Amino acid sequence: MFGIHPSRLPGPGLEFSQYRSYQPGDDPRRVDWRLFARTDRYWVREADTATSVTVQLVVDASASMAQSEDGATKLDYARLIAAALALLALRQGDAVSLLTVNDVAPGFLPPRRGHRHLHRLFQTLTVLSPAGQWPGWPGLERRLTAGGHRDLVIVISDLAEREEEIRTVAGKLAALRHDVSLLHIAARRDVTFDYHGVVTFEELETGRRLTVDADVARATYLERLDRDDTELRGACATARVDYLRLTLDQPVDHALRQYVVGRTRLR
Amino acid sequence: MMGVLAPAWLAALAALAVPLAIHLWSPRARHPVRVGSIRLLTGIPPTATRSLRLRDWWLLALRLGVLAALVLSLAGVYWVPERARPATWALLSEDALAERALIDSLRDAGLELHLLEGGIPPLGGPALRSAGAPYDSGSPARPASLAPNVWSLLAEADRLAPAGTRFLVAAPLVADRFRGVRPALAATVTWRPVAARAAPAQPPPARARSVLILAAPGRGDDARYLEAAIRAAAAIGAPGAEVARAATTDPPPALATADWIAWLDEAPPPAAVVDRVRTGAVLFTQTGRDSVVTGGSPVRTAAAGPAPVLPRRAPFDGRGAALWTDGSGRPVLSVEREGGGLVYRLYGRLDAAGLALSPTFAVAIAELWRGSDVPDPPAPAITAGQALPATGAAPPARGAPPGAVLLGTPLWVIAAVAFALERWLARRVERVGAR
Repeated sequence: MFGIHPSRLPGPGLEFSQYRSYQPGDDPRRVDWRLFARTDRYWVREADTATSVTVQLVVDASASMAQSEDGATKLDYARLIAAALALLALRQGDAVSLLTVNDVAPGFLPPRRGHRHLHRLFQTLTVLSPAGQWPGWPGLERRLTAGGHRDLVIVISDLAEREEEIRTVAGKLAALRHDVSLLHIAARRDVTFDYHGVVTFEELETGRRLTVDADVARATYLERLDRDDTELRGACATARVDYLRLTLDQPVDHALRQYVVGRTRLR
Repeated sequence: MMGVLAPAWLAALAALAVPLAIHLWSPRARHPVRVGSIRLLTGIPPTATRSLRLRDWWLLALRLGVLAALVLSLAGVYWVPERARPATWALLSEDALAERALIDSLRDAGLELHLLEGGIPPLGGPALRSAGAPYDSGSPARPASLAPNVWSLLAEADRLAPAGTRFLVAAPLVADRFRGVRPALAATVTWRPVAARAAPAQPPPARARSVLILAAPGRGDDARYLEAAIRAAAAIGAPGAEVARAATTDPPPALATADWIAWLDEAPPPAAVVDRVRTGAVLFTQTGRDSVVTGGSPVRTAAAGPAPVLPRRAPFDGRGAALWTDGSGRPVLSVEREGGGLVYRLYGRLDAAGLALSPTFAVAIAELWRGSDVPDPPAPAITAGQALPATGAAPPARGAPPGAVLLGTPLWVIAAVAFALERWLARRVERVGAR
């Protein structure tokens, strides 16, 4: 994604990037006439403008992220994704900020570049522990809209919401003309509901318990999940939010490739 | 009727608690699954929970059944069909017939009553009543030598009884009833000891006995003691006594008619005395020759009471059977048949310091006075273990009774079928759950 990070403002710039053949619709002023004189073909001189893209990583650190499957928690998975994305972004010179979200101990690393920032970011991710709940929009607004730029915002969350607070955040950010991606971390059993017999479920954030016959509840659950998923994808599409669901049994590199390829296609 | 060969295995039934505990304290129920959100699960009615539980109960019952069948088969459960159950014969000796309560309880228990005598005749209800004799405790007991031999009778009963019959023998456990070789019986024998019937007192003769005490010159005291004891014995019970005393050197003519003769002299009794004894009289002699001071060894007589001591005891010369013994078991008074009469020999002196002045002495003399026949030594009692026939000598066999059907194989089959059913049901539950 960042390797082929397209310049938002292609055209005249200080740093020469490449020549490409003229396409209909290109500004004739950008044709390199000297080259035309030499080769008798139209070449357009391209230069990257020095665009400064800030990548805002928003990692959900609420208690629900402690849900584990096969020895790894959702937060572990989110950590890896965030770290990998931060590494990619910083390698190509973008500034990266990290916002860890819960209502107990929210953390914020302002957007910076550089090696040392990367290490600070890794350290923050390493010591991150899940607690509390996702706060309401007012608590986040100041952090997320501070820059005023059009940033690339990547929200990594399990979307365990009381209401629709997380998707609201994504929607609001998209409405602020940020480039918003919503990476939904789900456990495999969240998707397949691979439980049997009478099972008591406990909600991590609230401690609420519910005992259901999993075999009977499965159909209803999967149906509701499907409907919820459809709604969510629809809402994201409407709000111009990239949505991607990753399950814990997916290898992280595979998940990242899926995300990057998806974004490339989107462009 | 059910039975168990190895009851200790039944303790393994405690293993039934394991699946029960697992079912009741299922880790599923105890440890909830912690998930991020149960938003999608709220409001799902738990309608089918009951049916699943029911299915689980079926599973549980099957598992318990498998375990129970295995345990019972290991414990060796058997079943004896009603028709195959062997009869039990109650063999009653004559002594047991007096114990009406015992007979009634045996008959109430459904046992076949038989009399333990030649031919092992059955003892039916009417027959028992019409006979009358068994309940008549006054019927004279037989002499010991003619007492029924329990072992030969048991061997006879074993021949007569159908195979598999058990014997419950009600007879006195006294040694003289068990003569000869211990038989080997096919039947299992259980003992119910009863008391041997006491020999009835013999009717006293009407005529008073004439007693002649012949004493050596130095034995006046002895004669006095003996005379007193005999008079006392005659005073306690019939027959009466007409006592006369004379010197050994000058036996009176009354010797020819005397019933009891006491010869108190170291010299052996003269021929006249011996002749009289051979024709039916009783002779009481005393020998103090080679007597030693015993230091007061207690003398055991047939009479009850404190044991008198015999300060001076002479060695036993091996004649006759011992009646009284000292503390070490050596004979003090022996009895021997001499022709038609009896000879009592006292090994020791009638000493004023010991035996002669003891009240027990008079009682013991009275015993002699009453029974002039040679008494049988009382038969020693034996234990039930000694009375067991050869096959019963071993501890009770651990096998099933005859006619019993061992349920081991059917139980294994049941366990296997139940296990297969349990596996099938469990898989089905799993499959339904996975769907």
